[in-house]
Amino acid sequence: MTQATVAVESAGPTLRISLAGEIDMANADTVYTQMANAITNRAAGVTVDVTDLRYVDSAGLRVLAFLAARLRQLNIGFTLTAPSNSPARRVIELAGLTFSVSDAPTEDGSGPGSSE
Amino acid sequence: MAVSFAVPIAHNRKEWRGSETGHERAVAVDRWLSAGRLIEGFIGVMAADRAEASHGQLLGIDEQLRRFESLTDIGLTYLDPDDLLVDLLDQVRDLLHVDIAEVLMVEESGSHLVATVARGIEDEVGQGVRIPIGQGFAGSIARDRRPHALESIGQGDLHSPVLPNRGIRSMLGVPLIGHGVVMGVLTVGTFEQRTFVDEDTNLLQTVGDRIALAIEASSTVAERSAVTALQRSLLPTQLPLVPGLSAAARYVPAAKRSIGGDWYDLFTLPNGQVCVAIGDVVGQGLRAAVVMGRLRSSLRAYAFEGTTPGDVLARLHRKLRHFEPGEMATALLATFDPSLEHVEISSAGHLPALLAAPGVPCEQVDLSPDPPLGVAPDVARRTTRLAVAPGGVLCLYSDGLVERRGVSLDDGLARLCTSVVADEPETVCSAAMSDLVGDEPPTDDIAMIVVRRDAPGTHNAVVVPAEPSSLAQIRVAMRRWLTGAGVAAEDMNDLLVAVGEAAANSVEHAYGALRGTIELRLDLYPHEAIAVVRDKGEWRPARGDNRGRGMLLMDRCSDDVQIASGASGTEVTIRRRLSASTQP
Repeated sequence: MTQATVAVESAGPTLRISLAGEIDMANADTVYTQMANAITNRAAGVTVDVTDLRYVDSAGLRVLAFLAARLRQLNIGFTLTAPSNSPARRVIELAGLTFSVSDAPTEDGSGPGSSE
Repeated sequence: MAVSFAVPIAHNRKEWRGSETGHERAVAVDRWLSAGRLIEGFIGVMAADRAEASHGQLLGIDEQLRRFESLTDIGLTYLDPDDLLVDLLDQVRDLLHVDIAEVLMVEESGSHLVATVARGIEDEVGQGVRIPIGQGFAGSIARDRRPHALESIGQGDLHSPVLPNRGIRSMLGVPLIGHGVVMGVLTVGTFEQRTFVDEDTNLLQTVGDRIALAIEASSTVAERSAVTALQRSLLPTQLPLVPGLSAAARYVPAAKRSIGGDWYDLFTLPNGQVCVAIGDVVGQGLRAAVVMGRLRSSLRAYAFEGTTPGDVLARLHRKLRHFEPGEMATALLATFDPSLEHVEISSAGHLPALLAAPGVPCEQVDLSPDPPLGVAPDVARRTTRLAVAPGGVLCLYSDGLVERRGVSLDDGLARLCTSVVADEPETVCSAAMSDLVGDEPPTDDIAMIVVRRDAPGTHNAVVVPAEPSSLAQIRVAMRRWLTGAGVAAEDMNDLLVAVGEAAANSVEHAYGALRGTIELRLDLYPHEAIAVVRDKGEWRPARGDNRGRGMLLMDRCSDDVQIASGASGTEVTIRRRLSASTQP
């Protein structure tokens, strides 16, 4: 069974969510629910750190894209932290996702795939 | 030896009640015949018996005793000890011309007698009559270990009201003693008042001794078959298939003595770790086997929590000490990393694990064992981490394998070391059993389990159910193969994604509501990896943005993707060049 950990830490108005482990279709929805449960409408911004994500596939990208779209609706800022040599960064780039991702947190661009 | 011998209450014997003795014996003969348990030589006795009984003739005491002995002899072959007692008690009634005969057995607690089988007065059994040892007629016999006779039953003579209520006037009883321990009481009674003479007492005691022997023998048989059944249900008959790991095991129960509490185990954890365990509960028989079963499942449960082997054994120790005080066991747990490159070992007083690698002779794993489970106070238990070379073999075993009569432990260990080489686990097990056991029947249980981290191969394959949870298994298998072959991390990650997307597509689309399997083959060549993901379902084009993204990833993570779809299934072939650092 695919295992991922979702660690949430609150720094003032910004929530920092660190993902570790693996995400595929077996646990993507669970990971999404865990992230969504941590985000209240009081949050001003959310940072998702995927540095320690060892494996992520299209099912994992889907929930990241979905989360980005949802936060945009709520006017909550979204940033993704992924070092340039990380497996997640590689997959995000190959899939042509337009989040701005880097070591330094940046503002979210527009994420496609939010229609699913 | 404390005899714990619980006989099922004889409700199922109702159809025999009230029938004539001769008829009962005929029925008994038919049952023996149909059960195919007739011992040669017994046929004649029973045939004569049936003929004589039908003529209503009275047999001489000697002849009856002789026949009784035949019965207790054949009794050793009874499957159900209850059947044996019923037949024995009917013989007793004939022999002594009494109306009732009853066996009360000492309960496991040792404080009470419980009516176990009764003939002529079955109510006692149906009511589950229990008599405190030391009280009443039967209780006194058990306490004093002496025969006792009551010519005329008075108020308070009997603990149970059943017998006086049924009009029993006189009683005689003898203790049933096996291995110097009172295991029960045999009583007889009459509706007419009767003075039991010494001759009656001696006769009943003779019969009681035979019954004690027969009960002992049949309880040993019953216990042995229960232990065997338990052990068979607990030891995996087929070891799980773990990609990248070969395994084989042996379990041989002791030839003569009753079976003990040895066990071995091999299981995988959700995170891809592989656990190999062996253990030995001190003691023998059903009790040891039951404790073994509990330890085995507790070990699995603690390991499932994802902690180190030392911590698993520490918890197991505390659990055993609390719930089974006085029991003791040795155990060794070896947990392989998902990559199989390393193994962590902790030993609770168990004999050393053996490790052999290609070109490296077998040696004992150098770790100081912590105390056995169950007896010692809590200690910090250690976990030792070792590298396992590709092709390396780990051998765990119980003491029965190396502690042979006339051979010192060190010599036995040295001999085992020469048998354990970096080869197929089945071959290693066969060689070890042949070298150490040979044709000498084992005097103690032998358990052994051998696992090998397979050397990287050109051709690798795994078959998994087409369900989401299999995707993680596929990655575990691929990492083992690719790491073993020295494939660079970037190449490996891309291959994981490409194959993962192909497999995810099969999981989602190949089979509809029906379940099927996904087969992965991964061929590793010096400059290229070729992965083939095959299902037996129907190809369905990707639906929705997500699967579209999946196809895109599959394509971009590889150099070439071919999808061949037909009536017999879909085959996705993924080719990926490997970077120069690769040394397959």
